[in-house]
Amino acid sequence: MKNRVITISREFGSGGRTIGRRVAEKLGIPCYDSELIQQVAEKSGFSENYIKDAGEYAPGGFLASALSHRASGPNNADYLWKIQYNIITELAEEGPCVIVGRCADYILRDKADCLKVFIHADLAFRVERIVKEYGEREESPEQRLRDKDKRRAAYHRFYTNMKWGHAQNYDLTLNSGTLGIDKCVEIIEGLY
Amino acid sequence: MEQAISEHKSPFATEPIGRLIAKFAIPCVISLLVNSLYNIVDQIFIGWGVGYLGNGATNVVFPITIIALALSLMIGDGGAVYLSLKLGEGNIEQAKKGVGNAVTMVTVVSIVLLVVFLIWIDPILTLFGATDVLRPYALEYGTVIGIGLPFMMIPAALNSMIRADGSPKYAMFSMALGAVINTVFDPIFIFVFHMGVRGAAIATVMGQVATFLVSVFYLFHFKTFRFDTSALRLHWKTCKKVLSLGVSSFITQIAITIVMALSNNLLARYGADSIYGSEIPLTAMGIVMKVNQILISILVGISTGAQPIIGFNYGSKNLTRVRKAFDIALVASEIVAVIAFMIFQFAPMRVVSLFGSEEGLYNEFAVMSFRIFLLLCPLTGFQTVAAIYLQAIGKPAKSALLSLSRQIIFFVPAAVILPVFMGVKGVLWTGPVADGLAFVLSLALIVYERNQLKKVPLSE
Repeated sequence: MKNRVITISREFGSGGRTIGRRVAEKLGIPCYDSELIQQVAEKSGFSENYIKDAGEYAPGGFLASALSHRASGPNNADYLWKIQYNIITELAEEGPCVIVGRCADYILRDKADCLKVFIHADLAFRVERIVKEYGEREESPEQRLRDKDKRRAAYHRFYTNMKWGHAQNYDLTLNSGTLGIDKCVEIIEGLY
Repeated sequence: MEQAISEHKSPFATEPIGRLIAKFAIPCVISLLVNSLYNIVDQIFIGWGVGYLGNGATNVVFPITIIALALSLMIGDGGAVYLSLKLGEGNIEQAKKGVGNAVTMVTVVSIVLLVVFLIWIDPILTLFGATDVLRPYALEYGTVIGIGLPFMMIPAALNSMIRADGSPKYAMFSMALGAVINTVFDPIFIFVFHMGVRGAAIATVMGQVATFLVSVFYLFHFKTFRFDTSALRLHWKTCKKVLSLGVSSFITQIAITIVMALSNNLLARYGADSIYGSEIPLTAMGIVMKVNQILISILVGISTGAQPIIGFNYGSKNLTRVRKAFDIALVASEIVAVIAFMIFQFAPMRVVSLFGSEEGLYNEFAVMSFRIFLLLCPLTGFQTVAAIYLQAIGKPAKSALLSLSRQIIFFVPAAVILPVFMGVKGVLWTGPVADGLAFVLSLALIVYERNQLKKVPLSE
């Protein structure tokens, strides 16, 4: 019997992580996000900060990741991918849970009874959210959003061969901007 | 490398950096050296047995070998990374499919290349700089090398995957076996049977066939999966992935071809207007580039050995060790580069005379080529370490820019412009101009990145 798992992929700033955490709380199952990063850190010896970035974002874009020199074998990102892959598989085998990001949708596609959710929102909503959540930065919030999403998509495409954010790859896609975060939580909870 | 990182307390985090770099760099240096010596051995025997025209002919054929190598490394390195990624996912079936698809692809590509090359051998040799004097030699040498292409390309691709399967020693052995056979039969065919450049080519292909047999044997004895022929059936998505993983290997190699083809052509053209004629510059520079390839192999080997160490410590934010690994790799590279520099500047004739004794004009140009073209070779040490450093800290685009800057971005325009004013010597000055500019670029990038290193990024 496969465990029921909810995977949440999300645009940067769409509130996907918050939604995941609240759905898990309501259902009384664990939500893996920062715990996941900690586990990967322990197993790999990499620092948590590094994993937060390198474990989900490709450097530059798809072309740049293709340009990575691999003549001497797999690089850090490849190594990290393998560890993350194994940890996510193990977590899904342990019991029902919510997993945010990190290509869990792809990794668990045959391994768990997955509800694959994609959360997106319009630019204005996300701009407001990231400034509120993470504060101002040197670059404009629009620039940060574009950069992060581009690198998330590149990472996803590189390691999974699937296009990130294409409706066909998910069971449910929600616009947190128009529906609101509470409503998204309610809908996902209702489907579980 | 794999095994080293996956232990709980990684040696990358604890062992002394110097020892670590030595441990990883030495095998890299050796396997790269075997590759470049392969070419040089031919040159030496041809130089003594046939003369410099024979060597000129091999230089004209050389870009074809490099193109073939570029394609097989793209497929093989791509297949190797694919193999290790899929093994990491525990997906044995897909891992096997990746290797099988890579084998099919390289086989098809090598046969296509062979056919294309043999049909259009004449225009292709002209494209790579063959003059009328060199043509008969180049045809003789090139035909045999062309027939040998599959035997060169298939094992070249397989070797990367054999390494990824956890048998780097086997891969090294199969390469070395070919090199030894080539070295043994070169003198027999050239001096005993007087077969000239064709003899050298046959010896090369014999070595390649040996390597081919040894690596194909391994295909059926992979450690991580049981190979069967169903894996050979092409699967579009798998092929695309394998190729995209290997594309950086392709670009690096193809850059070498562009440089060689361009400089061959320019040397032949501007050489014709000088007292040296076309053939002397073409041959002399061919030797310079192949000798330089030995230096590059050592430098790249050192940096490649340092890459996982820098990468790991960057990932664990142990920045002191990152800097230390960078510094040690740099010092080691510079020592080698400076020794090479001294030899090229102060004893170039010794190197030149390894490749056969010729008349004064040839010697004069060859010595001048070593002195001018490799004038700034100590800077190459820094550049190589810089490129690998950027790669290790996850800046592949900048790293690729750096690697291409010396070979393409600065080299090509300089090679086109300088000879207009300086004649054939201008082609020689292209070397230091490109090296110098590339050094400035790499210095700027490294200073920038090392400053960035001080600001610990906040995570979002």
